[in-house]
Parts: sequence; C-alpha cells; structure tokens
Amino acid sequence: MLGASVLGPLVDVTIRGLLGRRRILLVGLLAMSPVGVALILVLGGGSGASAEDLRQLYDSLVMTTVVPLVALILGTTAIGAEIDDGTVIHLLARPVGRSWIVLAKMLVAAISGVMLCGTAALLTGLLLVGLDAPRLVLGMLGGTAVAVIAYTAVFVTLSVWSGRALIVGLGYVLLWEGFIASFFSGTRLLSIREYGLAAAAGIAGPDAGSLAGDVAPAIGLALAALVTVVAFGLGARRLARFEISDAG
Amino acid sequence: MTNAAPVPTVSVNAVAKWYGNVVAVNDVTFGLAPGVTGLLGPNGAGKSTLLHLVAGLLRPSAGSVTVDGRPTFGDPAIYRRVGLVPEREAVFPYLTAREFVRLSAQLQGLPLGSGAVDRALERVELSMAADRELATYSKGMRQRAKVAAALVHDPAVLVLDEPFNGMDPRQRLHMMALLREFADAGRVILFSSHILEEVERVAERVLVVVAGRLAASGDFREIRRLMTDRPHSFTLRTSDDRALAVRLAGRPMVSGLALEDGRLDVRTADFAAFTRELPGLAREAGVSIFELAPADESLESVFDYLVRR
Repeated sequence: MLGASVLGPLVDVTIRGLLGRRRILLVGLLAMSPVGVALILVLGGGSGASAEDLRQLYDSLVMTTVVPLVALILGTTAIGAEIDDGTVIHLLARPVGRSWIVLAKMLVAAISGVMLCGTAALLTGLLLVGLDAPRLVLGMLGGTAVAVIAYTAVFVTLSVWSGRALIVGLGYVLLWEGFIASFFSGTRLLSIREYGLAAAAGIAGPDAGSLAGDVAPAIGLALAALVTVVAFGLGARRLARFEISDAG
Repeated sequence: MTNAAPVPTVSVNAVAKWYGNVVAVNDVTFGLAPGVTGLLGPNGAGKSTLLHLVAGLLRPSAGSVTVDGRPTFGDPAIYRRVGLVPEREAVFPYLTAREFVRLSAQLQGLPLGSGAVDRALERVELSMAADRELATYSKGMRQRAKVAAALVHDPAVLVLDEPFNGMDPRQRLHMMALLREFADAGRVILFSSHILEEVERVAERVLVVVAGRLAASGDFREIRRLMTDRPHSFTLRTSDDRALAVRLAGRPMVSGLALEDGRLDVRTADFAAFTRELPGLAREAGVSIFELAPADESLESVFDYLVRR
C-alpha cells in the first residue's frame, strides 16, 4: 500500500475540486463578511472603532458564525461532494491507505479555511484598531486558525460518516456552538468555538479583554488538538470500511 | 503489454449481500480464470452489486470474495492487481483526461516518466483529446478515459461495469478488441452488459444473475446443452430433407420435425443422443448433410430461458 507519496496528488485533486465548485464563491463572500462590517463601522463611526468593538465582532460574528460555517462548507465539500457525485470511487479503487485520503481532504479544507478566515480576521483587526493592538489581532488570527482546523477535521469526518453532513453540521453549529455552548458555561469545554477563543486570548495576552473565557488557553489548545486527532482517526477508520452504494 | 505473473485467481464463495430486508445477492459462488467473463442479468438483478463485491467496494454480508487468496474488501493493496471501471459516469470534470489518468498512475505509485499514462491513453484512442477537460467529453469518451485510468497499471484483473455504455459502434469494436487483447495476455476480465450481442462476441464464459442468484455460469453454448428440460432446436440443410425426416421421426429423442422452405427443423430433448445418432441415420437414408446449425444457441435464447424459468 502506498504512503506519503500519494499525499501530493490527493491534495492537488482536492484543491482543484474545491476551486472548481461554485460554492467556493459563497465561502469567500461569507469569510469576508466581517471585513464588510468593519468597513461600515470605520466609515460610519464618528469617533472611530475601539478594541472592544473588535473583540465583540470577533466573538459574535467571526467565531460564532463565519468560522464554523466556512469550515462546514469546506469540510463537507472536500470529500462529501465526491461521495455524493460518485467520483470518490476513483480514489478508493487505488492502493492508497484511506488515512492519506482523509488527511489530504482535511489539510486542504483546513488550509483554505485558515487562509480565508485568517485573512478576514487580520483585515478586520487592522481596519478597526490598526497597529494599536497587534497582539489582539495576532490572537484573533491564531484563534481563528485553531478553530478552523478543528472544525474542518470534524466536518470532513462527518461527511464520511453521514450522507447528510451539511444538515447535521449546520444543526451542530447553530444548536450546539451557537446556542447551548454560548449560554451554558458547563458545556464550554465541549465547544470548538471556545477552544478558538481560548487560543486567541492566550496569544492576545493583556489585550485579550473580554475574549478571555472559561477555558484556559493551554486547555483549549490541547482539546482542539485532541478533537482534530480523534476526528482524523474516526474519518480514516470509517473510510477504510466505506461501502459504495449501488444499484442493479 | 507485459505479462503479469502469477496467474490471477478470483474466487467468490457463497457470497450474499443484503441491505436491511432487501437481498441484493444471494449465495453466489463462482471462480474466474484468465479470459473474458460476461455478467448478464436484467436490471436490478444484482450485477453491479456483484461487481462491487469482486472489486472490494462492498463488504459481503456472508461468504467471501478473494483475489489471489486475499479478501477484496478492506484491503486497498488489492488494487495493485485489480482495475475497476465503474458504471457511473462521474469523473473529475475539472481534470483533463491526461491529468485523470496521471492521477491514477500516481495513486498506483507508477513513476511519471514510465510512459504508462501515454500508453493507456493510446490504448483507448484518446491521445488526441487527452488535454481537454473531462467536462467537455461525450459519454463515450468519458467511458474510455475511465478505462484508461483503470488499466494504466496493467492490472491482472479488470472489472468493468457496463463498459460499452455511450460508445459508438466503432468504439465498441475497439473496446471489444482491447478486452480480447487483455484476456489473451492472461488477464482476468469480468464485465457486465445488458447488450447480449456484446457479451456473445467478447466473452468466453457468462455468469447469468437473476434476482440476486446465479442462474447459470460457464460457456453459454454448454449451458444451453445442459438445459435438458427444454428441447434443443436444430436447422438442417440436406440433399433430401424429407427422407431424413422420415428416419428421424422414428427416433425417441426427436420431439418435433418441420419441413420448411428448403430446410428441416428438428427439436430434440436429448442433445447427446441426437448428435450421436444423426450421422448414422443420414447415412442409412443416403442423405448428405450440407448444414447443421443450432437454432436456439444464441446467448439471447439462453438468457431468455433462464430469466423466464
């Protein structure tokens, strides 16, 4: 069975698949929405935006809506779309370890998500506070990356497990991350959003302000890493036992 | 083409596949030897399920499927020996045919400079259009691109699900010749088709699947002969049809005779006795036999009979 040498071709075909689908435009627009809001604040605000405005925008829009939705679309498109249209058979009927296929899908979804959401976080930060709070902006960048990586790993795996990954993932984002984990502090240890916020607060240090939450930065990072690794393992395991649906 | 060694063996033992209460394949056993085997059956008979079981893309609910003694499901390494052409038209539309076949070669671990990609494209006559995106291809061209991707590593076992779909007559003939060429080089070819004429022209053996069960397997002429509960029909052209008919009418193995428009149609319930006794009867009657042809040995006849039974 082939090893790491197949990663390049798998990553290549996944990137082209993502770029070739129309939903990537939607992802781009969604990812850049905080930049639009920041522009409105900058252009419309008389006295200028504060670091607290940025923290609130990051918490309520970037981490609650933009990051999970972008990760959801990228994660489910990376392999779910191939399972839906049947092209995944051209990868499965090859002597390639299934873990390499899952790894390639997760890498592409995570890197493109980090690039899109990270750029948006950076631009939003620079627009609102310029270079006045560089650690806060860096923290936002880091927190975004942590959340995107964990989310995309979960959603790629969800696509391998379920034919309705988009709907299930949307339910998870809206109900669990958006509602339960936001309002019930006891559940925050089980929230990827909280892991991202914890990482952001850790990097931002004294600039963290209201971003500092119930989860300590080190714990948040460790749990995000654990979620990512477990999701990868479950995805690879499931794909190794994956059966092609057919008829006739 | 290089000869792969050793000779591949494909074995399907008491295999069943069910989805909930629906039984797609039930207690099917067969083995495949080098050569072309055609898989026949009406829609929904379980052909694709069987092919996917052989290709390791479905887990048997019962029984086993092995290639060279190794279970096919859950072992990606078998794809070094097995090439699969799926029925679904889906290909990566944003890749050119050359990129698509190259991806297959890379995932097979073939060195890019080996020329395998060009050879595969040439074999399916796609060299000229190889740099066009698959999205712009016709159904038949996509089919050929899938075949090129499946045979780029020169597999010992080639499994094809309805490979002639969408091809024009010239492409079909070319594909048939390609399958024959592969079989002559010692490969195991298993393909499904609903076009009986194609199977008859290419396959040495057939597997007939009806309602998830294997209704018959082997040389289809042999299958026909073994159907002892249905009379066989022959058409004879002789120097004196009437004289031979008189002789045949007295024999117990003959169940029907008809003199029609310069030929003699004979129905017999005992194929072996008929072919054994016919030369002697003709000699006794002083009749020369110019032509003796089975009237119902076509694959279509065999298939119809098995499906209706």
